[in-house]
Amino acid sequence: MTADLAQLFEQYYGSLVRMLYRRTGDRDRAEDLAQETFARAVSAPPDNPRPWLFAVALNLVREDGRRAVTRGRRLELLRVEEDHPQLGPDAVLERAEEVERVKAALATLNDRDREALLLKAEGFNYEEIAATLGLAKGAIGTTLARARRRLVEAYGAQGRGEHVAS
Amino acid sequence: MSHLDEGTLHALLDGELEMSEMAEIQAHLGSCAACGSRLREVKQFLMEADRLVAEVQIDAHGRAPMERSPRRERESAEPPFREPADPWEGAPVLLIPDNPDPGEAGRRWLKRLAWAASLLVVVGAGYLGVQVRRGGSAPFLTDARPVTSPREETPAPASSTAVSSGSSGADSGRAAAPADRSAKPTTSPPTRAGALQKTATAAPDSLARAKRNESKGAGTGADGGARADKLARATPKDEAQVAPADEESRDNVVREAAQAMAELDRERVRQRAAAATAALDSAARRRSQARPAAAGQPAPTNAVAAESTEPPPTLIPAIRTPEQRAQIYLRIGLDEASRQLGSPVHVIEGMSPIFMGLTQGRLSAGADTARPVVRVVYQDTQGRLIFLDQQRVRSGQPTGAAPGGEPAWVLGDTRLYLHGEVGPDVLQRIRPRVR
Repeated sequence: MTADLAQLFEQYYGSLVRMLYRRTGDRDRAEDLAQETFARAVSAPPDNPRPWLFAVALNLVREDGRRAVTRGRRLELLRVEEDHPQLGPDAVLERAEEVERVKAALATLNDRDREALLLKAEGFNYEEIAATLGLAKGAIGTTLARARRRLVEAYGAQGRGEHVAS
Repeated sequence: MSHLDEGTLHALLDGELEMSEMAEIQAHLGSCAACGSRLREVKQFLMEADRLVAEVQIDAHGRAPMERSPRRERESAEPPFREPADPWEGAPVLLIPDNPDPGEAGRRWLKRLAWAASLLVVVGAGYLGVQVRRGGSAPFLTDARPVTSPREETPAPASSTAVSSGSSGADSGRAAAPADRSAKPTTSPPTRAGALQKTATAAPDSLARAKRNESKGAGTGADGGARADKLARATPKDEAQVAPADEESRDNVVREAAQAMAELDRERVRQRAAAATAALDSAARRRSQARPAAAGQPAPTNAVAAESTEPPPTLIPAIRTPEQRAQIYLRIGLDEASRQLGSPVHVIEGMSPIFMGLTQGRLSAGADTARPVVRVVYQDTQGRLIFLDQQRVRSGQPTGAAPGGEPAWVLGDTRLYLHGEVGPDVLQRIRPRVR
């Protein structure tokens, strides 16, 4: 790996894994996808690395998204228990349920809205989100508006007991 | 301008609008209550959505391990940011324009005075309307006297008032009450500077006259009673004269209001001029004192004598708040600053920022002038301000050093520019501590 790619890895790996985890719900899968993304960057170094890396990673997610999310939910519950034994079992369970509710709310969004929202959470500006998702910059405000509203409404609907435990 | 769509409101809150668009939207939001209300709603959605997304972290404990550095933890533990619990709640939604005028407090006071004047005018017009609707005309109309001179009437004894005098007196009392409340700051600022008190005593004559009239009506009710008495005796013939008389009284009210506002404007101009003169005088004095001191000699005795005989300045001193000195148009918290930058805010190690906010790009050397700059403000032991400007670098943006030898550099995706009221040697010493 060249020095430039090493710098890219240091700069974006954490952000990429976090976005992928939010997107897929599976940490192992997120890390695998991030490494696969950087492997592709080695073979074809990008000019504008951040949008390129995230666009490639999201394309990889779309290839096998649904199965990864399902697997991730089960694994994450186990992982929380393993990683934080200092918390009581009730707190761990409560925390995991809360995260599951948010993930379920995120899952109700369509791909474009969800990805725009997750990229924004990683600090992307509208121009970068547009470049990553192949949208017009002028449409990002509307996309984010819809995504945020739907996420909050879906989460609220679960809080009112309209969700079913997965 | 039509109503703002939701996407534009989100772009506004995300700091993604250009300055030119922002000015237009700011103007619209200032005049459109519906859009202001929607902006608050959108803000709630935005904050809640951000909170929900942040819930999903790798370690499922609200923190991403890769970002949990000692510096970030120190930042979150530092109290001096004085950030409200909800940085958007209660804060002005509109961007506050840069305001270099030092007489902010005075202007606020004058604004209250203007409100009091407007209230007096409205109350007077309302009183006239009530009298006319009750089937008569105001006594000063039947007497063909101007609306502003009822104080010249002889107060009638309370016992001679008609049945309606009670309600009329009550009307006057009610009318006077809000006016007095609004006018309170004009007469009761014991904690304000003497100059402001002086300005208060020099309030426009017409306002003082109107206030005296109101307080007279509120105090005794006799004046109102006399008017009501006359109204009770009004004949149908008087009613025929109501329409033209009403027109005339309205003209009088409008004329009086215009005069009051013009006097207020003149007072404002006088006060600004006085403040500017005071600032110039004090600067000139400081310069004249600094010159002999710099030469290593004591100031000439005659100059000292002249200084001591000079009367103390009675005008408003040119005091500027730290926000004005830092040219911050909107104070923001740490979270919002991070959101603007898309990365954690850079800080100076070992120093506590007194606040942070947004400033215009043109005020930070080398920054993209079309976008705001996050400015973190520090204060050294001598009270001088130090600014650490930060702006996310976009492709094609020059990242060279700032003019004047002040340190400017790029860290990650952020362009940093260190400057302030201290000398370049101090800045050079501080720069290695920027994290």
